[in-house]
Amino acid sequence: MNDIRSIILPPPTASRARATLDPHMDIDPLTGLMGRRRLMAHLAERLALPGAALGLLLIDLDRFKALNDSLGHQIGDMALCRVAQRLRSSAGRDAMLARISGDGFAVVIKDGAEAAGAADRIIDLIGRPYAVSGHTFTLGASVGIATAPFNGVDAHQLLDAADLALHQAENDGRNRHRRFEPAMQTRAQLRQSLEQDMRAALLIQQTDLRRAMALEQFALYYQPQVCLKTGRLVGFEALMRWHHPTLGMVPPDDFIPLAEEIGLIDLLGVWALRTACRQAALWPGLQVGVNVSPLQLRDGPALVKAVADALLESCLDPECLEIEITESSLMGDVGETLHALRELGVGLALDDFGTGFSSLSRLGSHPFTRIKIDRSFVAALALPQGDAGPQRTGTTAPGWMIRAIAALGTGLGMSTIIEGIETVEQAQLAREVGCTQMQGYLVSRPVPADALPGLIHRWMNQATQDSIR
Amino acid sequence: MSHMLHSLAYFSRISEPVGPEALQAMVGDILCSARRRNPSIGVTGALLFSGGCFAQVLEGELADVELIFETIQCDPRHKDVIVVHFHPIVARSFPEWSMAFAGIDCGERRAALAADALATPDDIAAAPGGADFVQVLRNLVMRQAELAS
Ligand SMILES: Cc1cc2nc3c(=O)[nH]c(=O)nc-3n(C[C@H](O)[C@H](O)[C@H](O)COP(=O)(O)O)c2cc1C
Repeated sequence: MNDIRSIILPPPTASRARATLDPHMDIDPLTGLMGRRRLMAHLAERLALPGAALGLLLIDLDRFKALNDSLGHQIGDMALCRVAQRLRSSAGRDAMLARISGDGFAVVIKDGAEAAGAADRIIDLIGRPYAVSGHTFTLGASVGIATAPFNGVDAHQLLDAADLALHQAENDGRNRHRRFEPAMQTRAQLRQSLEQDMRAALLIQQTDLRRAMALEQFALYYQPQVCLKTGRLVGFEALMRWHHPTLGMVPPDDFIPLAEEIGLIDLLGVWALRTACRQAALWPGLQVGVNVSPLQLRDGPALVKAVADALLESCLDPECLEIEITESSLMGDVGETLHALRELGVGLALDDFGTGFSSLSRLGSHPFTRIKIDRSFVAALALPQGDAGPQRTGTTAPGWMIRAIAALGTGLGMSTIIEGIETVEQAQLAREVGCTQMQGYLVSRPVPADALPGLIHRWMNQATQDSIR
Repeated sequence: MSHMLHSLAYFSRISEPVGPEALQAMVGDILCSARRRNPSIGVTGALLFSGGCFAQVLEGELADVELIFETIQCDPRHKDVIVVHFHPIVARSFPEWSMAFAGIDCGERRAALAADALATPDDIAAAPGGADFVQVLRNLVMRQAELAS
């Protein structure tokens, strides 16, 4: 599955934000550079000459959006003018310059062999500090290079090639140039077909017909959660799986970013909510946790409506649904959405606690009902516990950390569940430091819905639950 | 705002190492440019070369400081520019110099002179607010002036 990750490059030109500039503009009024249309005409004209050779550089600014957001459009516009000037002085005397998107530029030079040198000068110069209206800041630049006749003989071919190279440069860590290589094309095509497969699979699933159900590629798996005090099963976390017809199982770490990128995460998220609620309605008294992406959280009203609809449709007791939100989603302004969700009666879990940015002191400011302690803390549990505590040594005592989180959670009326528990010993230690619930391979791996009745039955009668008592 | 007096200080590194003579010539050229152009837009300041690094203070009206800084930014003779401070000031620290020269480390005597005022530009960068930086440059400029007379 490793190659899936490398397929998932930033989206190709069409879906990127190129909207801020009129593509039909001949001259960009802000910078005085050529517009996209003039650039295409210019390229076509030069490429029509016999033996035509040239180098095309596409330049995307890094951090420009952040600059616009933090210092405002006026300063953003002034920065663009400075960038245009710096481009002019670094690209060489007879280079042709164009602004082709909000923060995208193009440079045409005579000699393709000089493209890499020009690209490095451009990256250097654009990356130097700016002083504008009393503020100083820096920007970065990524550059994609394509040369004629090697990488293309008409303007569109050349632009596409340079664009692929640009995305590679951005994907490789920005602030660098990349030349077009045919392999980039192959990768982009693979990615595109993966994107199409995902759309198709989701749309089939959306139609909800019996016939289509047989074709289902997306499925929810469920991982049980157990009370550490009583050993009783309390619920499940629903986890997405994608069985790709030819690639096999695609891990969520690979397809969820893709879905976010191509704008399908809402569709996927709504499907997961509905499916999980329908399932959970079949297991009275047990809770189901559904993960919500930061992108879904950004459109608060839509998320709240989707949750309300899923509850209504499935007749699930709201208390049996828990929405899981990662720490990193809390960066934005999400307070209102969280409260609206709580008002529906659903639980709210803070997921992956300990890996993001929140501090213990901020925990109380959101209406969470449960803290999910990240699996990375489990290793810490194995350390000697008896004398764990801040007084023991000057170093961090992880048992003590989990104890503090658990105590804080209890104080705020939240339960604490620890993820990634694999052994009975870990479960006992987790209970000792005050965690109230656990999830992990000790209880079970995530299982498909049809394996749940068996699992519930087995768990109710099994010895494992006694051994941790 | 754009008429308010501002001070901008930065460090940069020389792009490529050069011999002492070429260095003298280069710094001479830079000072020449500065002394020709800065008076015409009312910019004053000081320049230091030490340990392969430039340190410079520019002061003047906001728009003028930004204009000159942008030109200097794009000069291929130096790189790795780090802005130390950029803020409004009440009065200039180098009112009588279009670009005072605070020293160059290729002459031994002057190197010693610079060394007792500062160790490396990093030390200056560590000083809070960059205020000390201006003070150090001022001292160097004064002593440089004494030496010359
Ligand atoms: C470290 C450094 C400091 C400089 N300081 C100034 C300055 O204060 N004023 C100035 O006009 N040029 C300064 N320059 C030179 C400019 O970058 C540029 O070369 C010069 O303004 C070109 O003008 P000229 O052709 O009239 O010499 C400096 C260059 C460097 C490398």
